[in-house]
Amino acid sequence: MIESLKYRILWLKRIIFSLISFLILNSLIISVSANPINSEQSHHTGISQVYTYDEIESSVHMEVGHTGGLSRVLSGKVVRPDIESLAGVTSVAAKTSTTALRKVGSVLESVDDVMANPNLLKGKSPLQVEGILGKTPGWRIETLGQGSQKGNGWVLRQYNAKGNPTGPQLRWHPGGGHHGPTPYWRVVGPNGDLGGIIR
Amino acid sequence: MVYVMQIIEALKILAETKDKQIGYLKDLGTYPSTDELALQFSDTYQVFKASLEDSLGSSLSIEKVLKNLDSVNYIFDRMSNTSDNSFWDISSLDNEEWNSVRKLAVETLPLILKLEI
Repeated sequence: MIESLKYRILWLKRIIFSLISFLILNSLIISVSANPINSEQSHHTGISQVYTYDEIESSVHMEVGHTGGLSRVLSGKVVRPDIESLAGVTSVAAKTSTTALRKVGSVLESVDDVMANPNLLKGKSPLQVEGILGKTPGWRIETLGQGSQKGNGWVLRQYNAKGNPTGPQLRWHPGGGHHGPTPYWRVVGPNGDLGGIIR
Repeated sequence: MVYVMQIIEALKILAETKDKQIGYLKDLGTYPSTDELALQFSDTYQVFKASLEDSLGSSLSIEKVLKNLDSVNYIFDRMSNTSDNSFWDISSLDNEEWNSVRKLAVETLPLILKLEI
């Protein structure tokens, strides 16, 4: 009887042990089956990072291709792609500002602009115009040579290499007198008057 | 030759009667000042003279043209150097100086047209 009881207890222990072992093993299996998800996420993150990096790099190469890849070649430096990308955009902006095409005569920046559109002088003072055009090569600043305002006014006249006037000029007359005309501009191009009297 | 056409245009206006010159200045927009008549001449005279000296050498007809143009320029210089601004008002367009300019312009125009330029 006692022997039988011991035998049953032994079996009960085995069953309990097996059960515990199963539970432990099962928990391990669950843990492992859960970890693959984490592992997968971790792996995916890693891969994702690589892919993301590739995408960025690819994107950057496209940017560089459009903008300033040459800077990397010329400098020979390893540049952070995002920095080079920004630098490329800047260089594009700079390039655009220096090589942008604009219609001659749209802005008062040169004598050619005035010749194309004499009305650019409208409302301008000689001082303003001299500040923009006064240092044009081949052109000299003078005063009016004849008339009631001789020695006054402002003239920008073109000269050739021999020192002779070629004809083109910008002339500002200060007007004058109680009943005289108000100040005005006159523009003379290679073929004569351009735009008549400009005020 | 552009510079020849330009001096011809300037002389044509100087050769006109007082009334036509007044009409021209009104149309131009500088009435009652006659400054533009002299300034237009002065601008073209300098270029014309330099071009003749550079490219055409010398001949009797050219010398006569230049002498007349120099005379016109001299009269304008003399008028410009006085303090009397009435010389440069339309009311003076029939005085002695302007009549001399007119006469010289009338005389010079056919000479320029005859130049083989």
